[in-house]
Amino acid sequence: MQHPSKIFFFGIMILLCVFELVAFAKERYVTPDEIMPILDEIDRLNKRLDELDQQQQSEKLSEKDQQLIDFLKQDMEELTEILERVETKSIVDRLEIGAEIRTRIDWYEFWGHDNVPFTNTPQDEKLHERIHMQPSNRFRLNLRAQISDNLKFTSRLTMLRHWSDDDYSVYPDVNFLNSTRVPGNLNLKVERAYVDYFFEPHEYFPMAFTFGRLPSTDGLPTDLRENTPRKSTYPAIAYNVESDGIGMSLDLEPLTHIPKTAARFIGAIRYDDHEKYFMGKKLSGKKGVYRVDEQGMDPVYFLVFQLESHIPDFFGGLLAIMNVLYIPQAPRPDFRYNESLAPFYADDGLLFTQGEDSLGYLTKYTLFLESKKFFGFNFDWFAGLSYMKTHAKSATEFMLDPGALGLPLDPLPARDAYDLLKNYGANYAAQLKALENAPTPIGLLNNDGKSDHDAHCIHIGGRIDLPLSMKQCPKFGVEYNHGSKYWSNFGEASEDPLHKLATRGESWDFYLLQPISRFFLFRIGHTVTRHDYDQNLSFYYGEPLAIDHKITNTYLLMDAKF
Amino acid sequence: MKQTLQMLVFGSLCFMLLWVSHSMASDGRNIYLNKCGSCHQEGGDVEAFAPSKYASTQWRRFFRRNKHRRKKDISELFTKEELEQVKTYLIRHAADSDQPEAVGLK
Repeated sequence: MQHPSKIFFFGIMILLCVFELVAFAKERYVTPDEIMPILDEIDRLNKRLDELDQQQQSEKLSEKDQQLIDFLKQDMEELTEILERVETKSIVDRLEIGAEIRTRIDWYEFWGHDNVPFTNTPQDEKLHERIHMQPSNRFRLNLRAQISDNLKFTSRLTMLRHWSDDDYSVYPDVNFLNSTRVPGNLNLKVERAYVDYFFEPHEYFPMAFTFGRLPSTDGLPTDLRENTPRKSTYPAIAYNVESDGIGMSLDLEPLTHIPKTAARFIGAIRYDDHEKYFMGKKLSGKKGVYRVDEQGMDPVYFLVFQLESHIPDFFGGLLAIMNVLYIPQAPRPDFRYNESLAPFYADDGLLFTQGEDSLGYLTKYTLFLESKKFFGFNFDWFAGLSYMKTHAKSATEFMLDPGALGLPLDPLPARDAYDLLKNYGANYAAQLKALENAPTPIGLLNNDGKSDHDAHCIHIGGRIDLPLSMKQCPKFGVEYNHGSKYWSNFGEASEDPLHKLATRGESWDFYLLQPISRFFLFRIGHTVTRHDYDQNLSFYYGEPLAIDHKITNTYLLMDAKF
Repeated sequence: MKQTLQMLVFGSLCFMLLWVSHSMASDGRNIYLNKCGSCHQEGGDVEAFAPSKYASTQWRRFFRRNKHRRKKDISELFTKEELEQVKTYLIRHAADSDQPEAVGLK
């Protein structure tokens, strides 16, 4: 419960910020001002024509000259009318619209063992599976508006869907990370929609205030693979998921004289509104957003500090980013949507979960470099290094209370129930046996609620223009990444379907881009991932399990955008 | 051993590609910065300009009609190839080109 004085204090702080924004705002709309000089010029020309007209009356021009003057007057009137229409349109039409269509066809191959649930033990049979030709379509609607000189709006609406296939989100507790980035249905979803407000409290400290659904997907170096300008605030290795939040950027260029140097502070929150629904079924028993849902997931806070600079004439121009991501509390999961785990949330006293609200906290440090046109070569490269440290606090345990069965015993872990209770009678043997598949405790990348871990990932690669005498040269790129056992990428929204940067193991990625024009390109690629531990797409939940999976993805895609 | 050899071959190929591509490096940006920028300067007699001054169609028209000649004939200063490279660079970064996106990026 928030104390009213805290809310009051927070409100005062917000008001102060707003006051500062208003005080230092230098508003200038893109308005008729820019067209006025042209209209004045037309007026001047009209006056000149009138003078010529008067001159004609006094000096009696020839019929041919008179006709010419009349034509000129007609032309001037027409030009004035056209320009006024353009002026009106420029005032009214603030929204620029762009669109992208992508058709992608994937082929997958998988080798490896499935594990006995929640264990490191592989099942007997080694599997080899293939997915032939999985086609998908992606549609993006990009809307932009330069509302005024210091106010900018950007948004992107996305539809991503396997051909004629309708899917719904499967993991509501982590869907907030990538709901627009994984194949779904025909719905157009908001991937980003934010406003930047630029202001100058001091000439040496230009600042920008940003709020809304932020540009945090398509992390760098996706710009190389996608052949686009930078589309995310962060390197993909640091943070590549959808996020709603606010940010404050401090432009350090006037102070350092280094172009595009900035410090950014960004806060994003995943907030569970305690009215939990999954596929139309209400999971939470609470009524109203103002009621507390004890079993709901607490808010997840993502706090980011980023320092970035574009160092010119250094390796042919170098973008350097230092990023720190801090999650001050990692809330325990809410698995009510999972049919096999739902009984643990049923409030019947037999099965239940226990543990503190927070599993711990973690910090992630990332250094990322990207250089285009390396020393004047047609070669672009990047290198990223990330280090993460977790601090464990507790774990969510899946428990059984034997007292509910009339047995005089204390609560015990559900997955151990069969072994411990089988001698107490055969009444519940079948049900207790099934509980052997219940999860181990789930902590912050551990299953004991105590172990702290560190992890790292490296991501390097380059792209080169192939030396062919074509107007639109093909580009060939290679990327490599290696993630350690406890590596957690927060990269669920990555563009590649294997989420290669989430690999705890290593991954190679090769691609060939062929731009046809400024608006159309082809890309073929091949990605190989080798997983030593299960992929970290399940967020920060639990101890990584040893696996032996190898997955390949070969794809062909066509991109058209305008 | 075999893997090392493969890596060596791969590395050599990359190096050769780099070498060849160097001679073909497109330097429209450098020409724009150095040659256009020698007159078009912030606070100078001739106003500085960014590629986003015009949309791509307007840049095409600008070069097709040789509109610069009205102010100054620059045919002596640029070769035909250089003009083509500057044109490509300006069109690629025109007002209607794809824009970078990040929090607080102007």
